[in-house]
Amino acid sequence: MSLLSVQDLAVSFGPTRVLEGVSFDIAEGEVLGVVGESGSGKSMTALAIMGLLPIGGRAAGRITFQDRDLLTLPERAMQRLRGDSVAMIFQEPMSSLNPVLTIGEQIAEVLRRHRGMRRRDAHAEAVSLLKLVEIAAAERRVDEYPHQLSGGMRQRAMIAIALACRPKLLIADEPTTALDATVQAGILDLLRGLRRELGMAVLLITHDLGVVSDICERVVVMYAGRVAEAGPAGRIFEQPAHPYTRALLAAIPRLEGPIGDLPAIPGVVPSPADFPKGCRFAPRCAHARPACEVAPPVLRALPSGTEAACIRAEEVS
Amino acid sequence: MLRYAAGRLVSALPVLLIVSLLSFGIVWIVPGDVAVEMAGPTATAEELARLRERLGLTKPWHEQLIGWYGALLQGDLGESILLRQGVGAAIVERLPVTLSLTFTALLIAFVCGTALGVLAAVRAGKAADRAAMGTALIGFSLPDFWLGLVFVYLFAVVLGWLPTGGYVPFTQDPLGWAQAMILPAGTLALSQMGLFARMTRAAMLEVLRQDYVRTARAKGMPGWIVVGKHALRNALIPVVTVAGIACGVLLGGAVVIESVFSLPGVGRLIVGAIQRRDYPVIQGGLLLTATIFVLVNLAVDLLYAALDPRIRHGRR
Repeated sequence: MSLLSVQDLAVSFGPTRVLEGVSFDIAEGEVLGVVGESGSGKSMTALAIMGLLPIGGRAAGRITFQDRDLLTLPERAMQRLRGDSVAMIFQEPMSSLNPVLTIGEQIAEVLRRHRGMRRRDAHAEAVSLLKLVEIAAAERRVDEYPHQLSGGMRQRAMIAIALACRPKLLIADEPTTALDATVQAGILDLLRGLRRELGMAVLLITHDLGVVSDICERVVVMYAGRVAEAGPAGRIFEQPAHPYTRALLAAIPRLEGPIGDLPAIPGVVPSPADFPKGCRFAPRCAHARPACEVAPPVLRALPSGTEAACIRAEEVS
Repeated sequence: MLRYAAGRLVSALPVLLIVSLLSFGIVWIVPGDVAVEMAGPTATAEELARLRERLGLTKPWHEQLIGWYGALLQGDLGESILLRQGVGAAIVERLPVTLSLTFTALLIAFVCGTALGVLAAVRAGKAADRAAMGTALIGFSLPDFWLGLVFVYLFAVVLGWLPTGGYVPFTQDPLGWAQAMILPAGTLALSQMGLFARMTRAAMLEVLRQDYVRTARAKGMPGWIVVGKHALRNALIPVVTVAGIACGVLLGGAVVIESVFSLPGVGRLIVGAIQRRDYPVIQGGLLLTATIFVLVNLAVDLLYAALDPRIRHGRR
């Protein structure tokens, strides 16, 4: 029984479909990585789950969370869910906190809203949450404003806000991308530890495959608004079936072995207005055949243990 | 915070110094002889000499300057020639009227204007937005002397709900004060309400796009808290800056409104003084208006810091 089940999710802005046929499940306590380049639709998927699509965005399909379809849930019920059983942290810790409210207030208001805590209790709980995310001198920091905190501390504060109500599912949209490398490692360690401690499921969105191999159990690789490949993290890293996954993995610099040119993927992700008719990766794919451009390939299970949307997956891997 | 406030206060002092110098200098700046201007063409030489003596014009300029500041520091603004009354006393008598009018108008303009602006921003591009901005534009475009007369005709003459004019001190009869104030203050507020509405709409549209507003939504905050707490508190920072300027405009507008609604305020005192060349009153009025303006902007600066912790902590 999965905690969250996304089935055939499509998101469109007017006539433009930025996302289609996206399906995946997250079990309780599982960490699922969603990987892809900018423009692959990772963030749109997350915002669709939260019911926070930008103005003009429409989602279709089915998003089931604890037996409820989030896409048909009234806004009031969604509000009670957000920040309580589903929480989200964002890429930019610098701009994601409100500059005119103290850190403590921004944590406490979630507790007052969802837990009906009184002001004083919520403030005390905010301090312990700051301690939970390993912020030093939490008693002092709780009354400070975002501009008095460093980038890494702000992201920790964001995590504290998200964890305030002990969510069943935490959606983390590129939580370390905007941070320094040393700070990144700290935040990832923290997320990994908290996941174990609190037993929550995590949907981790990233373009960094290193992060994925680090903490994810299963991976969904997205390309141009569709799922290219999905499967257990180990299988995907050992034996990728989709040419796009292979190209992504090949583009990771390695410490061992000779230093050479990294094989970059030629071209860029097409914009939603001119997505190709068939396989969307075909124009950039080294293995493409004329058949690839006829119809979009379906996601199918492969003997290697993953699912891939590629008609030539067996030959490629 | 205290250091910031002290700094603002100190930086207001030079402005007051320059204004007081200008007030002193009026007598020197006007073309021709002040005494002749004041006494009129029919005055005899003896009358002129007496007047010059009273104004202190017979003394050398540096003695006059020292005398001006000496008196000023003791709160003495001189004697009105025509009212046979001290300028300070004349102003103090009329000041409550003008302050009531200006600040009630500022309050109405600010509250109604920001409300309209928030409504317009939240419903941007929809009918409510166009209606709110249309109202703002009408308020902005109609001259207040005309609006004042229309309101008096409608609410006082035709409907008989409110008095046509006059002033009731708040301490004497708060309800009567409110009834006397609502028309003139409302009229005066309309133009600035439009300004506040447009400023708030622009600031809100900017703020509503920010990441922290999305964070507030992701926390499950209901719409009115997202807009009224998370967005509005940030959007108010530029709007409050405008409040200082609006206050200056309202003080100027009060002169016209006092005449339309026959309110015995400082505005009418100054207009009368200008017409009759009562220089001590003009000097006092200039000094007073400028001081109020400086104080209001000081208050705005402090409010600014109260709203924005980044200013409070000296970063920006």
